Amino acid sequence: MKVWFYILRRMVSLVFVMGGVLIIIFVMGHVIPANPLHFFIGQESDEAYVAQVRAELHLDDPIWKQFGFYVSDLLHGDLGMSWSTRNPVAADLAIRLPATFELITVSLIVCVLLAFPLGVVAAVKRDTWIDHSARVTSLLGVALPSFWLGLLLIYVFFYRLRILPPPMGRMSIGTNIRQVTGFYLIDTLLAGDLDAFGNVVRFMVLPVTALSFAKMGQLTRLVRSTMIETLGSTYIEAARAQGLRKWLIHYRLALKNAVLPPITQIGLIWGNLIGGAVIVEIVFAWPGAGSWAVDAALAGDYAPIQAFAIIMAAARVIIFLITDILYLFIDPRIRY
Amino acid sequence: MQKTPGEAGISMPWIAKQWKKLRSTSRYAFFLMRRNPLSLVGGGIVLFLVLLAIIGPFFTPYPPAKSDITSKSLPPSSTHWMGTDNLGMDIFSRVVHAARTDLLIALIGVCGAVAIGTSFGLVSAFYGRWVDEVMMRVLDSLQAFPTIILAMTIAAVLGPSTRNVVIVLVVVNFPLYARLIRSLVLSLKESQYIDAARVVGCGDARLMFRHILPNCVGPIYVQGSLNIGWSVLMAATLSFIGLGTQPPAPEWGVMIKQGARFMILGRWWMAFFPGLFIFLFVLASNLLGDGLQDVLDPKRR
Repeated sequence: MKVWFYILRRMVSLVFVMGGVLIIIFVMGHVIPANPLHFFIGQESDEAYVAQVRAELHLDDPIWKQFGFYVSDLLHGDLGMSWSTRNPVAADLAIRLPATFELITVSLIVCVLLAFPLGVVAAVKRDTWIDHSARVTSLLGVALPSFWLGLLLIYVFFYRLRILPPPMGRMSIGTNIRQVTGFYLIDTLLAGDLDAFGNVVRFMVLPVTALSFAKMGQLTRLVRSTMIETLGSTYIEAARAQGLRKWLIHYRLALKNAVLPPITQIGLIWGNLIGGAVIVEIVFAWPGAGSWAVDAALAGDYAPIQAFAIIMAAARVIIFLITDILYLFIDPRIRY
Repeated sequence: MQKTPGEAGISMPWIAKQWKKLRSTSRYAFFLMRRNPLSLVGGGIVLFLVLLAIIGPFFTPYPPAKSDITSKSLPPSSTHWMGTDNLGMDIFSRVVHAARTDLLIALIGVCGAVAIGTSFGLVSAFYGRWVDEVMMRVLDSLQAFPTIILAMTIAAVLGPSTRNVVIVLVVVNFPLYARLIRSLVLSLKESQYIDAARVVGCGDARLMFRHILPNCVGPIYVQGSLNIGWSVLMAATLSFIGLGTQPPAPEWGVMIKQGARFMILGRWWMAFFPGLFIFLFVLASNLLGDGLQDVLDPKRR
C-alpha cells in the first residue's frame, strides 16, 4: 500500500514540476521583444487582417489567458510553427527525434557494457594497474570537453588513419534505408541489408564514443566504489571465512548487491546524455533534434528550441520517476 | 588617542592579523592536502592558469585580433608557437587572452550564482513552511531541464553575447548553492546560539547574515572550486554552439568553433590548443575541489 501512495505522490509532484517547466518556457518566450506577427503578415497587409491575426494569436489577451491557450495547445500536440523550416514544430520534431534517441540509447548501452565490467574488475583487483588506469580514465573523462574529444577523434580516425567515415551524418550519401522505426540500426537489420547496417555502424562509432566517454568514467567510478563497499561488508567476510572460492564470492554474492546503486544512476546518466547529445550532434553533423533546435535558435526561430527543451525536460523527469519506482521494487529495504 | 573599533577601519594591525590568519589556514590546508598530492597539482595548475589570465595578455607576442593574411593556417613553429588560424591570427596569443575571458566569465558567473543561490537558500530554509515548499518547487522545475539545454534555451532567448553567457551561468548554477545552503541552514537553525541571539533581540536579517551564514562558508568554497571548472566548460560549450561569445573575441570555445571545420582538413592545431586549456582547467579545478573537500569539510574541523 505504501508503495502505491509513494508512486501517487511522485506523480502529483511530477505534474507540479512540469507545470513549472511550462511556466519557465512560457516566460522565456515572452521576455524577448520579438514580434511573432512577422511570420504571418507582410508590409502591405491591411489593418483588418492584422487585427484578425492578432486575435488568432491571442496577442491582446492578458498574460495568464495566453498561458492557458499555450498549455491547451501543448496538450493537443500543437507545439507551434517554425518559421525557418515552414513546418509545424511537432512535425519537424517527429522526423528528427529518432536520430537523437538512437544516438543516446546506443551510447548508454556502450557506457553500461563497458563501465560495469571495468568497475567490477577495478574493485576486485584494487591498486593494480587496471584499477589505476580506470580511475585515471574516469578523472580525465569528466574534464574532457565532448566536442574537443569528438574533433580529436575525427582527426585521428578519419584524417590520419582513414578507417572511419567523415563527420557527415548517419550514413553514406546514397544509401537507401526503408524507415520503419527511425532507428537505422534496427531498420537495416529488418530489411536484411547488412551492407547498410555496417555503414550505419561505422558512422556511429565516433559520435557514440565522444558522447559516452565522460559518462563512462563516472559510472565506472560508482560501480567501483559500490563494489569495494560491498566487498568490505560482513557477509562477504563470513563467506570468505567459510572458505567459498573467490570467484564465487565476487561474482555471485557481491555483484548482485553492488550493482543496485549504479543501476539507478543509469536513469540519471540517460538524462545527462540528452544534453551531451546536442553538442555531439553539432560536431558530427548528426541530423538529430538537438542540432535542429540549435540551428533554429541561431536563426532567431525560438519555437523549436522551446519545444525541444520541454520535451527533453519531460523525458528526463519521467525517466527519473521510473528509476525511483524501479529502485523501490528492486531494493526491498526501503519499502518499509 | 584610542579609536573605537568602528572608527579604526582598515589599519595596519588589522591587516597583519588577517595575514597571519591566512597563513595559518594555508599551512593547515597544505598539511592536509599533502596526503593527496594530486590536489596540490590541481591547485598548482589553477594558480598557473589564473596568473596566465592576469599577466599573460601583457606579454603575448601578437595582439589577439591582429589578422595577418600572409601567415594563414600555419602549423606550430618557432614564430607561432601554436600556429595560426585561417585568418592569420596567432593562436598562442589568442589562447592566452582567451584565458582571461573565460576565467572572468566563470568567476563572475559563479560569484553571482553563489550570491543569489545563498540568499535563496537562506530565505527558504529560514522562513520554512510554505515559503520553503514553493521555493524548492521552483528549483525542482528549473533543475528538470538537462543543464545544457536550459543554458541553450536561455542563451537563445537572450541573444548570443558574453554578458548573456554570464547570466546563463548564474541561472544554471544558483540552484546548487541554494540547496546546499538550505540544508546547512536547516540544521543550524536549531542550534542554541541562534536561540540565544533571538533572546537578546536579534532581528531576522542580522541572524541570517551575521550568525548563520559564516558557518556555511566552507562547503561553498568546495562547491565553488568544482563549479568554476564546470562553468568554464559550459561557457566554452555555449560559444562553440554559437550561442555565447561571438568571434573574433578570443575565447576558448569560439576558437574551437572556428577551428572545427579545419579538423577534417588536417589542421589540428586550431582547435587542439584551446580545448587542451579547457581540459586542463576543468581537470585542475576538479582535483583542487576534491582536495579542498578534505580541508574545509566541517566534520574535520
